[in-house]
Amino acid sequence: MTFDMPRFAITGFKFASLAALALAMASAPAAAAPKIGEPAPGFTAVDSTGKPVKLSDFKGKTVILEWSNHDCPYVKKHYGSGNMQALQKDTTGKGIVWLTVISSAPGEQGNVDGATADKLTQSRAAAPTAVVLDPDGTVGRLYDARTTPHMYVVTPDGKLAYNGAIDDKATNDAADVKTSKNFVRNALDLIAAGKPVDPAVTRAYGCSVKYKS
Amino acid sequence: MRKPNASLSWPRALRTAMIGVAIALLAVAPPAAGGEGSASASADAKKVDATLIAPVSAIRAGQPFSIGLHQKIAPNWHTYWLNPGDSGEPIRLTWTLPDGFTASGISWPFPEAIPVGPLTNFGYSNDVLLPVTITPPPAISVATITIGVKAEWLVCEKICIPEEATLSLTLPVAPSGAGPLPPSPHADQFAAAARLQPIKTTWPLSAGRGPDAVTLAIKSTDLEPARIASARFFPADWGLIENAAEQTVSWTSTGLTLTMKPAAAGNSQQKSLDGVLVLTETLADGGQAKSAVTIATEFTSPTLAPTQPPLTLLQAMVLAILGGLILNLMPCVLPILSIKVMAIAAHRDDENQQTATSAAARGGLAYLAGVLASFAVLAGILASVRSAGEALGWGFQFQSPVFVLALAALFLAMALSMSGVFDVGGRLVGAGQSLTRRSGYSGSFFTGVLATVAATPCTAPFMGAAIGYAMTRPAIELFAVLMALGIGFAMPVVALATWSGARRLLPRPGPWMETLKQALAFPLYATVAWLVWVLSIQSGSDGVLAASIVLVATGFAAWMIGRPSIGLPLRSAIALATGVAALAIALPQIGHENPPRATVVAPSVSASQSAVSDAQPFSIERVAELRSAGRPVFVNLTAAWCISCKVNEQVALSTDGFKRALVEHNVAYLKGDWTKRDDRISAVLKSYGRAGVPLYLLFPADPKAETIVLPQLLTEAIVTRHFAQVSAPPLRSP
Repeated sequence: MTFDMPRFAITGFKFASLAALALAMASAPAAAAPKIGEPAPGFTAVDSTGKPVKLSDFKGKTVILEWSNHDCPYVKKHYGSGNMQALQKDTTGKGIVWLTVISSAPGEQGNVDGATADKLTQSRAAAPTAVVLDPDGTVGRLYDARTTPHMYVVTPDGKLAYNGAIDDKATNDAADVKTSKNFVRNALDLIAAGKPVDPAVTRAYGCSVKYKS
Repeated sequence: MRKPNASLSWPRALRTAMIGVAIALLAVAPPAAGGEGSASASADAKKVDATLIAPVSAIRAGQPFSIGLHQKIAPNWHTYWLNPGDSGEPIRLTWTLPDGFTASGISWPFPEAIPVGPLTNFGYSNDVLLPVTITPPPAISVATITIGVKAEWLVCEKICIPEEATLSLTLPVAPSGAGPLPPSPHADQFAAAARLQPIKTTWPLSAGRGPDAVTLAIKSTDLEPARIASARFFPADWGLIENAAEQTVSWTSTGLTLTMKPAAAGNSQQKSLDGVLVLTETLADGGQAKSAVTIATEFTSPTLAPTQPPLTLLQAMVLAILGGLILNLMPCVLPILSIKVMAIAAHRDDENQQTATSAAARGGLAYLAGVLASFAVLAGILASVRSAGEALGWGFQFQSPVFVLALAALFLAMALSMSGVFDVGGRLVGAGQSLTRRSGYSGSFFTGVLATVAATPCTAPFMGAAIGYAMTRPAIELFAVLMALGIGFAMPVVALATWSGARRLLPRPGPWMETLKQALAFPLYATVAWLVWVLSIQSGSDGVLAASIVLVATGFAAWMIGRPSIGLPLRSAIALATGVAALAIALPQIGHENPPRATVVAPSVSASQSAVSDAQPFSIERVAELRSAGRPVFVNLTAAWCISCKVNEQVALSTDGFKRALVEHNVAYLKGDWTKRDDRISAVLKSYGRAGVPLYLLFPADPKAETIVLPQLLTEAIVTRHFAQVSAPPLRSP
């Protein structure tokens, strides 16, 4: 009888951990927000040209993730003013990887096919490394992206260094760009100087990401 | 980040006057599509129709007034609260004011939660009025003033559109003077919007923040689990809680705890929990009403969240057994039990162990039966009273002064007996034979009853949580928990009685027993003193006099019974006569309920309880009397634990406009408090098809006229309008 107990206990434990795992997985989309200083969640997605994009391919480089929806007034604020393009050019020019992610579901505002995405890049004179198409919202939910724009900075060692707004003026007025503090630039400067990123988390502002329901 | 306006300053500033003819608003500028860019794109299909309105039609130097941005929002579209939630942007107002004028921040109405896929925003739909208080300078030299505002907002359905409007409102300046400003046609709109303002609370709040939970605890027994359909906290700031996550309400014996999920990515610097708590209350007619209270409380435990998971039935029963065990040590119970224990101890060394054991065991079981029967009766009363919509707590019977007095007399008699004044024979005090006698079983049974009765005013550790749980659960669980309490309570005595091994632990019987018995009389005397004090609160000085008469009579009767020189029948007759005479004198003194009680329930939501104190107490007779005197009567049936009642009292029944309307229409105001059980009020409620409060009745002066039942959610405008219908101008003496 006594030697049965451990086996029973182990079975019970296994079952419990399985149940816990199932529970964790069920609630994963809402719960799995990446933490600052921890490895940024890896993903494989398809870019506007149909090529696979893997986060791990950029190991050794700083990666910027930008959630976008070209019809959102807040995205328009930063593209209309040229703010986003300037940041893209400055960073990609220094060997930083810039991924624009579109998580709008089919039929929702901002959802585009690859060709339209490329046309948008061209017409707006944007300079991302790649435009990632995420119509299922998998990458978006993995990063808990909430708004457009919503910015993330990943350091060369693959850790998340910044999560939040592009700047400190939560408006859709393009005139505010000049007077605002750009949090992404701030994060990149601090990383370059070897200092901890502060602020590392801010409130992302903008339109909600138009996820598939 | 701005905090939600904590005070009710603007509705108070809102002085709805009943005099004067409303002057039309002079100008409401059409929404201008002016300025730069994006807004003009949607000019032809605006989702929000915005206007600038005021509840007054003229202003006066130095007298603050309200003004507000009113938004009519297209169906399914939303604008946003001061904290817009996961996306969106709050409505922004930029004022252009005449020299010397100042504008307050927006008094944000409480928002609703708007789910957007996996996210949740906080905002408004259909219709919202954002009031602002404008303070003019002490002197104004112009005849009219114009207030301008640039309003900017984001309006979203699935997609978002930024809109803006430049609006202005011109108001004439009234000559300086006192009194209310003349109302505008929008006065009612502002009055109705007052219901949507979060109000200050006097409830003690505490907040905790841990890795797995952010908690908000409200310590108030005024909150009725049965009435609160839901509760949701809206944070004033981002990054504190996960906006889309479910918030769990759990009830404890001390009130309500809301458990929220901490923000996945957020701001750990916040030192306090700020925002509004929106409570959805189920009304007596089955409808629901939302009201909001302002929450601002510092986190008490920055690292450890006091997450108190709700008890399960089993846990509650275990706690109840523990609580019952400890109850044995309470000062009002211990003397009674000691008698029982001594009776058992007397048989410790009985020669015929077999007989003694079985007799003792039967006695113990009779005691257990007595305890359990008493607890069953308690459970039955609690459950049936609760089903009638009343809330009673542990020890409810102590609300009755007659019960308290009877218990005081009983305890005094027992104490006197233990002191040796008289001997009731082998029943309670008799050393042992009773256990072996048949009559001993009923004696043991009633010792159980008595012990339970004596125990009810006491609360032992662990018991509070168990009882608190039981009171919110179905009757069967209430019963189970109280039975567990009884079992725990009876356990020590039953163990001693049925288990000879335990009995051996008792000291040998001897003269010490008499000494102990006499010593233990004193806790009982102390209990009597306490009961008299309870009476003094319940029935005032008359109650103390009545108690004294009864207690003296008890003492006399005890002494009389203790005189062996007089024949027993005569002794009993004299004792009985004394008792009857004492009760005849005493009962009328305490029979009537005494109005001022020490256990007055603290004002719950309303901080300005005194503001409605000009109401007279309600009775049907008083209503008839006032009506026959030619006055309409307004009746407010309320209770301290009814949040809607308190909100109504604050926004509609304590305003200057309400008081003026009472005077102007000569309406008498009566208030019936249903906080404690009141059968007369219950009967009135029932006759209007209601099971609970609030109920607002307006009786026209004409006794034949139909009684008007007012809505359960009041505004000053609703009340004053109805008053005007039944108006009975006071007779003026020539």
